Amino acid sequence: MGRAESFITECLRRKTADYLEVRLEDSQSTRVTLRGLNVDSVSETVLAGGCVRALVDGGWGFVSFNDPKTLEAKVAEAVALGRAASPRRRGRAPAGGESVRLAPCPAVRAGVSAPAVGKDARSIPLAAKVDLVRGYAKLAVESGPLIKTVQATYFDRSTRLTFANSEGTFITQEHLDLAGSVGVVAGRNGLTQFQACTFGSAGDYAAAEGLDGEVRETCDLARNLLDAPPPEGGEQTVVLDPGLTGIFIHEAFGHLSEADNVSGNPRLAEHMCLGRVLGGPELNVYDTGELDGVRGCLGYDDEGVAARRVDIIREGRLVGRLHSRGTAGRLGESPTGNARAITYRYPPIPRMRTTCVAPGEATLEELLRGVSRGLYARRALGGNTSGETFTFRPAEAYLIQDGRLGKLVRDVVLSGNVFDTLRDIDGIGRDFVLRDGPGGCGKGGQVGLAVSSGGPSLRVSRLTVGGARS
Amino acid sequence: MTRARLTSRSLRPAPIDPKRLLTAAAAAGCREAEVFVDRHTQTPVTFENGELAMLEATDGFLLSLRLVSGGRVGFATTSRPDDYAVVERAVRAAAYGPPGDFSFASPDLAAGARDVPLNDSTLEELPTARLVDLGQELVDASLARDAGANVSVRLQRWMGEMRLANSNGVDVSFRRTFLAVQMSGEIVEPDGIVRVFRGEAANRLRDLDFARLKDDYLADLGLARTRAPATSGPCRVLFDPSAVPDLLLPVSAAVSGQAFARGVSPWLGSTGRQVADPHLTLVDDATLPYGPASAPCDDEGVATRPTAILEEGVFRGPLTDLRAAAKLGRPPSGHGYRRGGNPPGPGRSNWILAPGTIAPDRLLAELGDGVLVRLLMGSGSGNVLAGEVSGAVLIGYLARGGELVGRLRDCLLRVNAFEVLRGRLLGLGTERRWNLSNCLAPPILVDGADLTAR
Repeated sequence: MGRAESFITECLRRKTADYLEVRLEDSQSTRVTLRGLNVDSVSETVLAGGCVRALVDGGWGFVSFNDPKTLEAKVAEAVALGRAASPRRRGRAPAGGESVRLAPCPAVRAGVSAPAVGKDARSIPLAAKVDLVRGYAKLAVESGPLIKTVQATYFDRSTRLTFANSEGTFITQEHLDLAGSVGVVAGRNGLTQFQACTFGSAGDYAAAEGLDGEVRETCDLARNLLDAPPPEGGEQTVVLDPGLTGIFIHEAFGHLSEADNVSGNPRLAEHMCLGRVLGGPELNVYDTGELDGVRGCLGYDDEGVAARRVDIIREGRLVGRLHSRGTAGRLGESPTGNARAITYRYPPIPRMRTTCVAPGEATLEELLRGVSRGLYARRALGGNTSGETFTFRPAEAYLIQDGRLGKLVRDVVLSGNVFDTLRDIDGIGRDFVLRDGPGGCGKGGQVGLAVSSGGPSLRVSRLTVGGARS
Repeated sequence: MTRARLTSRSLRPAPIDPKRLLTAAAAAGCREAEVFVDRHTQTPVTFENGELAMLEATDGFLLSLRLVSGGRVGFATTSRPDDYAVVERAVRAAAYGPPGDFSFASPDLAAGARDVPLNDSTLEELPTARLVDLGQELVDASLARDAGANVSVRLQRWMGEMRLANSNGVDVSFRRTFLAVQMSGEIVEPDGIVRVFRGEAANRLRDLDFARLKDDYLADLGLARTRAPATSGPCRVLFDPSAVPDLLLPVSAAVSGQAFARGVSPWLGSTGRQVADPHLTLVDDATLPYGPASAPCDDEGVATRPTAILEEGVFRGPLTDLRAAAKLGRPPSGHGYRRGGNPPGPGRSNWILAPGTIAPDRLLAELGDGVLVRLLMGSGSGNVLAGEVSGAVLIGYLARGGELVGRLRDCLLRVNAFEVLRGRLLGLGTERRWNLSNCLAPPILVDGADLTAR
């Protein structure tokens, strides 16, 4: 038993609580930003600290700190807060008459190194990272006068996490994360169009390399969009490419399958009961921490639960959810390893890791065939969700007329209602792509969590297309 | 500067001495150095699904060092309480950093900082148990009105100290308290989920109007179950003060000193010109006592002062940090702000919009047939510099003949902010409210928006 472990174990042993856990985190990150050809900033960040979470008589207390030497006092403080939050001690009956119950989880003792990657970003000198991004910025700047601004970013981080709980689990983990983008704005006569080429990986520097072609295509697209008309607003059939399917499933359904939505909300739980038919028999959706190499890969979550694959929709039926131990305990289901915290300053909550739609049988041609009037939308510039409503913005979109791709349109926003939209998926492609970008997931004030998503091309018979006026 | 005690959870003494870092930077041959320290304690109280879910106490410490080494700017941050190696990392970053073609704040720029009151000892000393009681009252009010609405409440007390010291002799610090209360309800109906959301924030406990928060929330809850039959097409929109920041996003982007320095602002060359309706007057004012984004100086140590952005629709100039100001050849306006641990850049403080002439009881009548918007989602993800504001209407109501007839569902709203603020502004309300984006705004009535309904 190492010194750190014995110190933590001793701190946990001394205090009485129904459950106690400690997380310690130490991360180093590098960020490079260029505007045009000029470096805008180069920064190095060290983030170190820890937290204690305590469950006392049904009440949760959480304390975070920067100085690990104060751990013992922080354990006492978390226990005191947990006690103050206890429903029984506050003279209030716990909801549904039952106290907080953590789903059982075997005690684990493990040390998880970062999965080996082709080219470890930690071994690359800062000068090379700056040169790489500068090269992309130069390509974009020199691609023509219509490209008005260029912003290129590179980011990597290595994190060491220690997790220990009062049930005997002690895990050390190493995470690597890397992401970036080359964003360009093309402009002419007051009209501007933004486009971005993005990359991301679990610390593999190779993901950031060799993107010259994509940067050129990004600039071409931004320029072409200046000549594109906006689409007609209203309901349309939309075919999504794999890049957009990933964001779609994250925003449209991933968030709703986070079990904290339903664990304390019996009416929503009825709505989202396991077995409910949500889509056609071809529709399969899962979330996993087990895919190495992508940003959403994870050995154990922030409650020490193995981040296993969980099927959410199988053959169109709801079969699972993304759980913390608390939500799983409340619903009488098994924990899935989805309890994640953005940093030591936050308690873990159910979050996604890598969320995917499984591939189907159709070719892209088959998906387009039969669409008399619609849109083919590719890659995403962003997305949001609230409850059942979601919205996302494709990077590029083309009209579909009588099964054939037509002209490029600009400023497209897609929106829908998740339950309607899942039912309206009437074609699933055989082309599966996992692609990482620099975007992070935000929930409950915890913004920028590394997640990944993937899927095949999808056809949705009805999505709301928000057009812009010309 | 304001110096109140933090008694309920005292901040510990600064673990790392900024002066020592400045000395170390000088010894490493740096031309200039600047240390920014943000230390705070938060005590969030969270109710989920009608129950107290968690009590928290989080200590935050983040030190940022910016220096000029070899003529270039390096930047490094740390949360480690004894991390003097931050100097080496910043020097290393400087080898590849941008040119140091500007100076850190001089004592002249820091001088004249007003003593802006920001700290409320009553809030500091308020026992967490009292916050729990205040939250429980809100939860109980929601359950009493509509037991079927799943209610969540979060009260977030923030007590912090900011200090900025640089090698030019500037050393400023101030303390601030803050309380934000957010209340949301979720109603599950056979055909979907409806959410209501309200929030209030204030530096002082006495300024946070719990009764108004509760009444507004309950009013929203009362309307949530009635679905409005919306149709697509052009429409009038009444932007509630909570949605005004969405409408002002393009203005925010246009007045950024960075957009000016990069030559991409649509208002470049428009200083002194009419860019908006004469009824629009907008001031950025960090000196407002107990304002949510008030501070005696910005995050680079430059003294703040009220800065006119629009005077009767005439543009008065960009908001600048030190670097953008140097590039534009003008004095900095005191708008160098940091987000998280990032290097400072041009930002804004409190935005104060002048009120208009429409009394609260006339607003809906003036709207007539149209849409009242309280919350948009994704409004900033579009082509903001071109004026585009488009997003899903998360909380909005349909009005017919001056009456709210129900809640909008599954609708997208699009508006070009520059166009409507210039030529389609129908009026502003007499009564202003703070929103959670640090903007004191009246309701704004515009024409020329597009609604896409499912």
